[in-house]
Amino acid sequence: MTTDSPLLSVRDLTVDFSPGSGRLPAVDGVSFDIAPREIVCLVGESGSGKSVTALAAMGLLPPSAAVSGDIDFAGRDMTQLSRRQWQKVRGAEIGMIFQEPMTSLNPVFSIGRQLVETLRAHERISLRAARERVVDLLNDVGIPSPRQRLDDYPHQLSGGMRQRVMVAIALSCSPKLLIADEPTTALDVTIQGQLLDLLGALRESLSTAILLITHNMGVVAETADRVVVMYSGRVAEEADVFTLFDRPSHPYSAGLLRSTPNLAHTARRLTTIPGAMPNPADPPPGCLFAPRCAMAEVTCDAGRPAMRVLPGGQRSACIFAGRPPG
Amino acid sequence: MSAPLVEVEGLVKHFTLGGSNILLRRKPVVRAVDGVSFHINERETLGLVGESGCGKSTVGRLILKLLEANAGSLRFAGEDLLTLPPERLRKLRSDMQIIFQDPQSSLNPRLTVEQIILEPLYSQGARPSAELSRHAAGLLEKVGLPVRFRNRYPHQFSGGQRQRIGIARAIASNPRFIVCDEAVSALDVSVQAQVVNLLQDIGAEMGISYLFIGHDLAVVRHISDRIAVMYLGRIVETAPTETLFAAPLHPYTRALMASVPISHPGLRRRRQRLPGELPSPLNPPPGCPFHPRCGFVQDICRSQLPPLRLISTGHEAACHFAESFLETRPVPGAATEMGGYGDADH
Amino acid sequence: MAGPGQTVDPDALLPRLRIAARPFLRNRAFVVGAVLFGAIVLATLATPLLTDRGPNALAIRDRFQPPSLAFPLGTDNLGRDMLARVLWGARLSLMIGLSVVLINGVFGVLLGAIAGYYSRLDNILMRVADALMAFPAVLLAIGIAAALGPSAMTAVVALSVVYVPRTARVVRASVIVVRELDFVQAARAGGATDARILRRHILPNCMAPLIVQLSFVFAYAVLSEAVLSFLGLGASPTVPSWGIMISEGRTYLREAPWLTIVPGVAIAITALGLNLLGDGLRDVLDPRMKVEQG
Repeated sequence: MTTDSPLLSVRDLTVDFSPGSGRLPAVDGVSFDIAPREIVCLVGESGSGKSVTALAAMGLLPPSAAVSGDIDFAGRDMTQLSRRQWQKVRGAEIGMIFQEPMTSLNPVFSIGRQLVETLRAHERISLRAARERVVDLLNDVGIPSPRQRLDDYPHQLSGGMRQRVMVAIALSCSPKLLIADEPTTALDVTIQGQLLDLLGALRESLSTAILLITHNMGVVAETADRVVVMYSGRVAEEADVFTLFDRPSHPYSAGLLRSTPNLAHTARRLTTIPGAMPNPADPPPGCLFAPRCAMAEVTCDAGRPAMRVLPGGQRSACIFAGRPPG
Repeated sequence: MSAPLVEVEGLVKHFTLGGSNILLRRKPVVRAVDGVSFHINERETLGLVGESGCGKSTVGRLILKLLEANAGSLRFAGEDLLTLPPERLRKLRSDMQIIFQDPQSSLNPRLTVEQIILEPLYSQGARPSAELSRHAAGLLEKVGLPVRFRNRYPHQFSGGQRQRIGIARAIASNPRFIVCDEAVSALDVSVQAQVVNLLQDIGAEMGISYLFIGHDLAVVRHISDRIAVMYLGRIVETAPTETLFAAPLHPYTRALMASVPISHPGLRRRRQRLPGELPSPLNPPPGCPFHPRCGFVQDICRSQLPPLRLISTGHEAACHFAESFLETRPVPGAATEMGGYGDADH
Repeated sequence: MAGPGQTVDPDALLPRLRIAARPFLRNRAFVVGAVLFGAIVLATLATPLLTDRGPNALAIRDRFQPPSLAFPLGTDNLGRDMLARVLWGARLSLMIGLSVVLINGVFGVLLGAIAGYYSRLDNILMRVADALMAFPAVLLAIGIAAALGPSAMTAVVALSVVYVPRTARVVRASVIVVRELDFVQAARAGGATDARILRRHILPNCMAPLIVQLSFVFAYAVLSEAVLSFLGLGASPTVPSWGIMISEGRTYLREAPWLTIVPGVAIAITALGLNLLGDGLRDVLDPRMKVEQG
């Protein structure tokens, strides 16, 4: 656990899109911290609630969502912010990049113009100065011949380039936190590596913390300092990345690691996690993972397990955590 | 050694971009598949890997004649598909099927599961009957879905379940060959593993050959007997799976392997990333298409297109200097180096 | 645990229908439109119950009666009961509208499907459609009606010629999108003939925009028929159509405004109801045409 006060602090975040219906909320009692300059990966499969958590942290949930819990950013309570206040924060203090660079960039404006606009929306800066800054930014994100590319349109760039432009826009005002929602999922694997390297380098040079949402354990292995594993709206496990890969304390994390194909496995058959995610309309009475868990016992069905803290700071929502395996 | 089930020779597919500019004399052409040759034997799985734009999906559709090739030859079970009369081709289609990537668009939302699964049989003239219903029930069981799902509609299922329905449809007519076009790429990791295992089991049990198209080397490795690597419309390397991983000969294959995300944070290191971007298929570089990004480029690479040639048993590569890589160390991150990490291998 | 389902038994038909009906019932435009148009349809069907006076029953003594208890919608210049006339006129207008819709349904779909599926024929068919659509709808209808002579049939033919290209365009657009979807490719890979593919895979998935389009066509047909009749090119005056009623009432606008207002309001309610119905249908159906999150 870090001794600095956390940059982002999420406590008991619950997001329900159909309150009162008895369905599982999309996010249920999620808590985690992000320290300054830290890279935290939020991992989960579809239906885990990781994207909704990120949206909550960015203030981008629809008004119909019932949100409870605390989100503190740099000491400020974000849950009470108005739209205007959020607009000031986004871009300037929290930057965001999304999965699909084509739909995140406005196709009718040149990339130079979009970058300049973002800059000038948050800072008092002249057009000329802004353009110079933008050229530097494009250079920093590794776009070749940036001055010539200023007037290019998004469709003239490749996917990897567009994602770099997204990063440039997100980092243009030197935010303290960058939230990246599956930034590499739509990219080819050789470009993916370039982008992850870029994010790591920018974390160093700009001292930005990164909240990286992904479903790919390989991306986690490459970039994370700490990992939060989510399952069906709840946190299953939180640990630093080495501990997670060496000693996962939740059966879901362990299962996820085992079923990820990687070049080390020479066995022909992949290990799987049997079954599927719980139906939000008809959830299990106890631990949400119990129906698929090889270690499940009767006590697992009694109620949702509380998060327990293990020595070393690892947190787990499994009642067997901390006991030796077997 | 019987004749291969699928034989592809010099397959070419160009797309002309619809330029309505009458001033342009020549319309821009995308060379999606630019001379591809390979074969697939009975009961064998050939993996086809490459990144976006390399043409691998196009190859899959060309083999099934969902797209018309511009040039080359295509033989299935000895028959020349390009000169086959349309009616004979239609009948032959029961022997070759396809599984798609996107679970959302691969099933007709207006048909029930049973209707979807039996559609290949109905298309060939079968009429609904109790026996066919039983056949459908058997197929549902085979892909691991409860039989009571037969009258439900696709929107009631998850992505993984829809893929299983797609698999059931693909095996309904007892085909000899199935093209898996990124069949697991859109699935979550835990579901992906289930579906890959299912494909392997079915393939072994029913004696089906697969062309497994994918971009994830780790997944493709699990299911393939042999692997072909594509780059910008051409095959750059073909080899039996373990040979490829033990001794990749083409610089692009090596780069691809080095780019696969590591499996443990302890393996982080400053890796030599492949620089640059995929060139536009509208304007491929002269000579070897990979030369602008290749760390070993020489003069000859810039001017002469290297042919795909046999380097050692069963191992082909399209590089002027392929032989020189026979002696090099395996790529960091590939199998043999990881072998030493064995104990922590969960 | 099984995949995503409802809390209700996923195999039962009735509860599924009820759940399917919910988004329609929640859409205000749909409900209001359905009520309005439904009222017109009901009134048309129940005409014999609502009045026992014929549309042409003369009663010169009672002419120019304003709306009263005896004559709820008043009488016209020949003493004919407006209520009866408007109700019997509804039959004609709705019949014509329905015929145009049916013809659009058949020919619009046929042409749109062929144009959308066979790119080589697409060009020719669409150029012909463009030519037809270049004429303002009403003008074209007038031209055709003038050539064929006035009758209900003429109105139907003229309006069909005018609207079929538009319907064909809507269907064609849908077909072009659906034809590229994977399940259509799967059907081709299974050896299905083109006819089967269109019939079983493509067209059933093009229904939503078609239904919306047809509801609008119905509304336009009713309106345009009124125009044609107003100009004397529509149905013969023996059966009153709303257009004729407006036309005849024009002369007496100052003394007996209800002669024009009554049929005018009837047309307005019908067209408005159909338009709202179409809007509501489009709102409900269109977003669901997009990818459903699994």
